[in-house]
Amino acid sequence: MRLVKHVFTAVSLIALPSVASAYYHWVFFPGSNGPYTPVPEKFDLRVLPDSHTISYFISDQGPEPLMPGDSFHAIVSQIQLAAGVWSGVASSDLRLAFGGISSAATQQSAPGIDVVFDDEMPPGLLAQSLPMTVQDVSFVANGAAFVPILRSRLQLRKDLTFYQQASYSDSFFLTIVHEFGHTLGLQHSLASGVMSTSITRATTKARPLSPDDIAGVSVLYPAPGFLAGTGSISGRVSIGNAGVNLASVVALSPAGLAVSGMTNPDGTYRIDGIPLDGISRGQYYVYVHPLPPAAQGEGYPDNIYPPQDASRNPFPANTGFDTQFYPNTRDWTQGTLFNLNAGNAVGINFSVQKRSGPAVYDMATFTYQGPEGHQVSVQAGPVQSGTRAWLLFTAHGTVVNNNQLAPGLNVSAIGGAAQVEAGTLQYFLRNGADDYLLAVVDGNTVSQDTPTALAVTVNNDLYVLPAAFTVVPTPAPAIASVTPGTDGQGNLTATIMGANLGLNSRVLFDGARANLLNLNPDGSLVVSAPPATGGHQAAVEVLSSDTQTSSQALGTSEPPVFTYKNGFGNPAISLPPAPVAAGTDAMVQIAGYNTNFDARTVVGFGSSDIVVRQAWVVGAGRMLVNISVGAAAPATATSVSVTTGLQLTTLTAAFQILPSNPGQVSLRTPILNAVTQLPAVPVGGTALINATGLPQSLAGWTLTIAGQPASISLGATGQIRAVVPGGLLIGPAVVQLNAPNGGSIPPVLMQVDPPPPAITAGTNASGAPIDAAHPVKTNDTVTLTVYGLADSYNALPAAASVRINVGGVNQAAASVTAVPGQASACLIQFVVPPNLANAAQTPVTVGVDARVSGPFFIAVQN
Amino acid sequence: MRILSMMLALSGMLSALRATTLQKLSMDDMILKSTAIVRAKVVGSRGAFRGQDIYTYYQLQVLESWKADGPQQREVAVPGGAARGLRQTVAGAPSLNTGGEYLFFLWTSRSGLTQVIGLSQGLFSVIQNTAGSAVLIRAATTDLMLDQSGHVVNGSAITMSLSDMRSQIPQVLKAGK
Repeated sequence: MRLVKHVFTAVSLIALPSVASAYYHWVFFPGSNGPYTPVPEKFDLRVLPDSHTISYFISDQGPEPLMPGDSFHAIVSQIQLAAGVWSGVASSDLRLAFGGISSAATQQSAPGIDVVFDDEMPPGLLAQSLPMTVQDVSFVANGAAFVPILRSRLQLRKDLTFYQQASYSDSFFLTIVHEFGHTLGLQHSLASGVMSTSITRATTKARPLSPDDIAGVSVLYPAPGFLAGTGSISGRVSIGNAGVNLASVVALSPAGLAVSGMTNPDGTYRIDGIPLDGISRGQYYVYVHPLPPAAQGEGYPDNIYPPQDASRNPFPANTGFDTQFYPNTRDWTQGTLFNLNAGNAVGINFSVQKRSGPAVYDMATFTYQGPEGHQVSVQAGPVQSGTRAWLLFTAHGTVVNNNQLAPGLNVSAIGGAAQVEAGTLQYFLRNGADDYLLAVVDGNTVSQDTPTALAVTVNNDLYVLPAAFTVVPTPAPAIASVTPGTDGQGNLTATIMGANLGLNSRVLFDGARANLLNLNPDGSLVVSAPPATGGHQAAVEVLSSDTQTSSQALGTSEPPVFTYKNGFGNPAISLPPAPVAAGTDAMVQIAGYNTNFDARTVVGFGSSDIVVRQAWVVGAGRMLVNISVGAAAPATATSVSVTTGLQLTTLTAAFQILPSNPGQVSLRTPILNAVTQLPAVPVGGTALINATGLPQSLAGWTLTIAGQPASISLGATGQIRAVVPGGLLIGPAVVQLNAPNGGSIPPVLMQVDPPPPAITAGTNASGAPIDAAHPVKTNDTVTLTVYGLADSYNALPAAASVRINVGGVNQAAASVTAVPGQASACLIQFVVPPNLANAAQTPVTVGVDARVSGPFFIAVQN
Repeated sequence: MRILSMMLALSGMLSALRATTLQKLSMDDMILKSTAIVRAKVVGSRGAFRGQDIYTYYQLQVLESWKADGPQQREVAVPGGAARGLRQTVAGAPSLNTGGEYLFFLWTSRSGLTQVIGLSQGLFSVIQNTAGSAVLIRAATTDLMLDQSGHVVNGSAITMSLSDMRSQIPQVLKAGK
C-alpha cells in the first residue's frame, strides 16, 4: 500500500494574483529586475470584427508534388480540421475561421494566419510557424497586458514528397495542429500535449488536445467563467534563495491528466486552468523538473524561447537542478496529493538541488497496435484494458556503456491504471543498430481512456513522462473495407466494414467528417459521403472516443479509400459585381454550379479585412451572406472560396473592396431581436439595427424588409428600431435603408423567424401543475407543454439543441416529444438544477436557435 | 504475450525531433544534402524582409571550405529576426554571435537563398578544448552544460574534433557519389 498524503486546499490558499504565465507562451516582463508579471504575445481580439474570430488563409500557391493519391482538396480539409481543433475549445474565447484561398498579392490590414506551402526551408524541416510582432516592445514596461501578434505564418513544405508527408497521415494532421498552436501564441510545453515536441507528444487525431493544451490556449484567450471552473497552483522554485527561471512545474493527476507551467526569472510561477472534473476530481501530484537541454538542431532548451524584458534582453533558462515531487522526493508514491478547488490557488514552493543538468530526458515510448503478425509501433500508444503489453522506449541517460542499464534505473507507472512488471526492464537492440529499452506493462481494467505517466529514476535523479501510454477500455477501430452505395434519395453513402466500430465512432473522409447514418447488426457503419467532385479519392479513417484511430495500426501502409465515381461535376461559383467600400457591411449573393451547399458550407473572402457575419444556404446552388469590411481595409480585389465537405471552389479577384467613404451610411449586422438580443426576429417583432453614418433624425428616411415598408424609429443609442412587417416569409430577408437624397446604402440581410415558442403548462413528475402548493426541488423532473417549437416542416428539434433557462441557470432538455393529436404542441422534460433559490415565481424559458419563449413561472422549494 | 521478434515491425518513428517541426538529419545526411560546408567567422548581421518573411542575414568570413568552393565573404539567412520595426520568431532558429566561429552546413535553395541545413542542425560552434584542439559542439552554446571540471556533460554533445570532421567529409562525399 503506497503512502498518499492528502492536503486540503484550505490550509494553503493563496489569493488569485495577476496573470498566469504557463504552458508556455511567448513571454515578456516589464523590467529586468522584476516584478515579474508575465506579458504574453497573443492576438488582440479587440481589433477583430467580432472580438472572437481570427481567420486563416490557405495560399493559392498550393503544394506540389503530392504523395500518391493525395490532393489539394484533401490537404485543405485536413487544415480545416486542424484549425477546428483549436476553434472548438469551449473554455477559450478564440475561434478560427476559414478565410478562403488567398493570394499573396491581396493587401490586408487586419490580423490573420497565413498557411503557405513554401520550399524555402532547408532539409531537416517539415514545417515552421512565424508569429510577427512589433520589434519595439518597450510599451511592456508601461503596463501593457500583452504584445499583439500582428500576423502569423504557418509554413508547410511545397514538395510534400520530400519527407513523404501524406495529408491523410495522423502525423501530418498533428503537425498542423501543433503549428497552429504556435501561430496563436503557444510555445512548447512538457506535458505530452500537442504542444509538446514530437519526441514526447502523446495526443492523437482522435483527441488532439491534452488538458495542458486546452489550459494554454484558454489562459491566453479565456472564455467568460473559465477560471471559475478550474483549479490553480502557484508558488516558487528556488535553489537556496535564488529563484530558478524556466523550471517546468507540472500538476499530474493519478488519472493521468497533466497541466504544466514555467517559472519566472525570480522562480515564481502560477498554473491556471487545471481540470477539476472527470476521474481526477481535482487531485494532483505536483513536480518540478528542468527543461531538457537543447538537442541537435535546437536553439534553446526544448526549443522554448526564453522570456525577454521590455528591451528584448532574454532571461536564459536554468536547467541545472534536480527533478522532484513535492515535497522534495523522487518517489512519486511519497508525493503529496493535493485537492484543488475552483477559484483558489494552492501554494506549493519547491527547494531544488543544484546539479549539472537532468540525468534523464527526452523519453519516447512505443506500444504496439494491429493484428497479430502485423503489429506496428505507435508512439505513446494504447495499452488495452486488462492486458499485458510490451513497452519500448528510448530516453537519454538510461543506457550506459552502450548496452547497460543506467545504475539504479527503475521505471514505474504513476496512478492505478497500469503497472510496470518487476524484472522486465531490459536493453534491446533493434536490427543491430537502434537502442531501446523494453519493459512489460500490465494494463488494469479501466472504463475510460486513462493516460499513464512513467516515473524514471536513476541513482541521483528523476524523470517523469506524462501520458507515456494510454490504457484504453476498447480495442482500436479497424477498417476492412469501404463500399460505396446510395441512400433512398440517391445521395452517396459508404458502408464501412471492420472491427470495433460503433455509434461513438467518428468517420473521416480525408479531413471531412461523414455523418453516421446507421450501425448495422453486423457491426458495420453506414455513413453519408461528404460532397466531393467526381473521381476524388478520399482516405477513410475511423476515430474512436477513447483516443484511438484506425490509422495508428497502418504503419506505412496506405489507408482505405472511397472513390467518388458518381460525385459532383467540377463546382464553380459566381457573384454579382457589387464592390463594397471599406468600413461597411453588405449582403452578397453566391450562385453555385455543381455545388452542394448545406449546413457544412463555409465561405471565405480571401482577406482578413472581410468577415462573414452570417450565412444562409437557400439551395444546393445558392447562398446569401452578410459581410463586414474593415474600416482600414485597403482597396483591393479578393478571392471568394466556398467549401462543403471535400468540395472546394475559388473565384479569384471576385470581390472588390473600394476605398472607405467618409460619411458612408452602413447598416451593421447581425440585426438583433429587441426582446432576445438574438439575431432573428419574428413577424411583428422589433428589430434592432446598428448603423453608422446616420443623421440625428430619420425624418424622410425609409426602410424596407423584404420589400415591405417597415415602421422605424431612432433609439437613444443610435440604433434603428424597426417593426418587422406582416406577411413575410420565414428566412433571410433583405433590409434596405433609403435616404431622402437617394444615397446608396448597401443592403443587408436579417433572419425572419416564426413566432417564438410558448410555454403553456408545467407539471411535476406526478403530473400535477407546479404551483406554490406543488413546488419542485433540485433533481425533480419537470414537464413543460410548449407550442410552436417545431420548424416550418413541423419537425421538432433534438433535445440537445433546446435551451432551457431556469431562474437564470441554463439546463439541458432531457427529452422533446410530440403531443399526439396536437401538431404544434410538444412536451419537454428537464431536471431542476441545483442551487436555485427558493421562489414561488421562478422564470423558465425555452429556446431553439434564436427563438426564445416568454417566461413561464414555476415554484421552487428545496 | 507478443514475442520479441514482433519488435522488428517497429517503424522508424524516432527520427522526428522536437521543434517547429524538424526531421533529424544524420551527419552523413548533412554532408550529402548540404550545398556547401564552411568553417567561418560571423562578422555582422542584418534583418530584412524576403517576401512576407523576415530573415536575419549573417555575414560570414569563410576560413575554410570543405564542400563546394565559394567566395570568402558569404551570407547565410536564418528565418526570423527584426526588420522595418517588426519581428518574427521561429522556434528553433539559431542565433549567431558576431565574432563567433562556426562550422556551417549550408543549403542554397533554387531561388538562391542560403540557409543553415535543418534550422540549427547544420550549425556547430568551433571551440578550443582544454588541450588546445579545435572541437565542434552543437551551436546552442547558451545551453552548454559543463561539469565542475569544465567538461561537457551528456546532452550537449561534442560531435567530433575539427580534424576528424575534416577527414570525414571527403570520405562521405566520395561514398555518396
